Amino acid sequence: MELRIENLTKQYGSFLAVNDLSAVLTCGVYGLLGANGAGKTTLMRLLCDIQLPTTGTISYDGQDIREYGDRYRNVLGYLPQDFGYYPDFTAMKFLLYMSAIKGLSKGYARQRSLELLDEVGLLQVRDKKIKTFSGGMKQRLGIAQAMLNDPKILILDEPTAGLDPKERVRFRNLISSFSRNKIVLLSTHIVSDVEYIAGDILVMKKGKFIHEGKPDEIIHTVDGKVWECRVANGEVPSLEMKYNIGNMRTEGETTILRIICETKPLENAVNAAPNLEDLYLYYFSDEEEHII
Amino acid sequence: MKQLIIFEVKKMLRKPLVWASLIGLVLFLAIMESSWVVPGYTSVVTEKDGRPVTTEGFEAIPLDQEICFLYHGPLTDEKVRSVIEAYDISDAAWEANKIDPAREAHYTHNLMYSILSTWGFIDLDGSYSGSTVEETFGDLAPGLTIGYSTGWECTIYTLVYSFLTLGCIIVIIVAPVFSEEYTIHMDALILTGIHGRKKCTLAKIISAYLITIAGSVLLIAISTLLMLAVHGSVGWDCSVQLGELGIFDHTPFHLNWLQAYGLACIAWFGGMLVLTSIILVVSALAKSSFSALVIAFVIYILPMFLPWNLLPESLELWGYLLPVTQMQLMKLFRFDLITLGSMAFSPVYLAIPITVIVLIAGIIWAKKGFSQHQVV
Ligand SMILES: Nc1ncnc2c1ncn2[C@@H]1O[C@H](COP(=O)(O)OP(=O)(O)O)[C@@H](O)[C@H]1O
Ligand SMILES: [Mg+2]
Repeated sequence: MELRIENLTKQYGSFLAVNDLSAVLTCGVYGLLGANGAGKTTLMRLLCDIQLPTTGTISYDGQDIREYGDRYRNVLGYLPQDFGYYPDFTAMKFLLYMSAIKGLSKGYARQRSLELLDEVGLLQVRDKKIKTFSGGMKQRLGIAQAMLNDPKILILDEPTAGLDPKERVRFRNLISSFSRNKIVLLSTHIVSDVEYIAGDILVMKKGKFIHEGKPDEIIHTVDGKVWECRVANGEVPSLEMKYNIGNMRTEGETTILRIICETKPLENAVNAAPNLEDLYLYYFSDEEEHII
Repeated sequence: MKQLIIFEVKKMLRKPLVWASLIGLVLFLAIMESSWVVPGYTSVVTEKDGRPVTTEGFEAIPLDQEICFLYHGPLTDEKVRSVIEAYDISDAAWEANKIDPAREAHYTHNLMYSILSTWGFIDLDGSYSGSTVEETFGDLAPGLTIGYSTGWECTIYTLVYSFLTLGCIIVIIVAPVFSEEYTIHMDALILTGIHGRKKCTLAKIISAYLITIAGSVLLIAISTLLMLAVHGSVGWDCSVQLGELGIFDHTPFHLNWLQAYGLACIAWFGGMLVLTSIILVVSALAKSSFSALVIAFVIYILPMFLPWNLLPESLELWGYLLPVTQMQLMKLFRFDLITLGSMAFSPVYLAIPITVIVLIAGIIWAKKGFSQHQVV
């Protein structure tokens, strides 16, 4: 099973949201990491055949997904970024409706819906209307509907948005157990989401993949560029202006700074072991304000 | 498929706005029926003890029918004169009620009298004007039938307005069918499901037509049953030109009320189905449910206000074959029979091929519009 992306481009006017991407996805969990506006959502819409690429092709097991048509949709599960719902439907009814669209038989649909509601922790509230749900509950319902047809290709656009830490852990476990013999692609700008479950990471910036690889391989790209040093509290503001700073920890009169920089920033700076977050900061600090 | 249709029908109907407009329709229908059909506006004035006595409502119906039965049949000059003589109310009686007898023709006597008055057989003061049937109706004169047609006429009149209202409600119900999925971002979920682009789309389209057809059948059934219960079927064979409200005064060929009712049903059903098809296409192509609603509404209502009569006659007819103008009946029934070889048929029949063509085109276009929709 493979999903092959070849020279994929999506242009809005003169703006290239997805810029000549090529990649081959096989079984496993892929984390699509990128700042807002990197083109993650656009790429996923192209993969789901709900937007036409400007140029390039996507093929599933050697056949263009557009030719595959409904047979491709039969193996596809998708959670859109801003996923809609019918406010007056109950969680159960919503899943039954989605099951009908996904072609599940009536009896199986009921059983499968209950099973998934249990897995995402919504079994107790299955007969409550969706409009009474919190953001996290809606998100979990969205994850459940994507998995209804036991898809071979699961595409999740920012699935952990709105989830609290406990729900995130549960989500990771769910995906890990679900992903056997499947292609799972999940986008996020939250580093820790992919750190634990993604076998491969695709780093996306301005419509291009700037790095792909296993998490620990890819971290090596910032080897020697992460520094830690202790400075007086008063110096912090001026350093913040000058350097790309990750963590900051205040200890009494001094602050320990984690600085991402090509060269040694300060005399007393020492190299530190890099993590994914450093990688993220290294690539995206110039374009994103809010990092979690 | 059945399951998807049930889901879609529920989605369409379970909305506060839809409920509100359906309640509005029921109220409207109740008001129309009570003022025109049940018991209707029938009133009969007779002279008793030197005073005009008015009978109205349910009691007036048998009274009026009794009078009409006496004259039921071909309209002749003799009949015209005898009606005018028989139901003249003396000047003294009018004066006793402080009514100016010089304006007698303005006041109700009974249906026969009113029809003759409408057609100018009666002068303002109530005397025979001297017009003959042939002068008044020309070529149509032989073969015109007069009789009690209040039930039929008022039912058709009521249904015209009920269908125009139902059209508005169908706009409200059908405009969101596809467009709302775009607005609430359900399009991405539906279009990535195996049945999303074919079965689900078809289920939406079928549901829309089902609702339209159910609504139309219900309107016609309720109105017809009420008419039969209150007025009976009498008068079905009378000429539509000899009505009191003037809906079909200008129809240039012989037509009785039953035939007119049949043609009206074709016009109403055709109009509703064409309207539904148009709204479905608008819904599939619109960016949001609000824009779909506004565009569909404008497309529905606008033809009512366009000056079709400025067009040459051959084109003018097409202007009256648009949903709203067609369901209004009046202008459409002014056009003469269309002859095709040895056949002559009412222009209303053109609504049938139009409906079939628009229906097929609408289904194909709406389905394509939704299944190829680019999710943004
Ligand atoms: N329909 C559209 N029209 C014009 N520009 C768009 C459209 N959709 C997305 N974009 C632009 O494409 C870029 C990538 O967007 P998106 O794929 O949503 O990024 P991400 O999901 O990584 O945040 C953004 O700059 C966005 O403004
Ligand atoms: Mg996005």
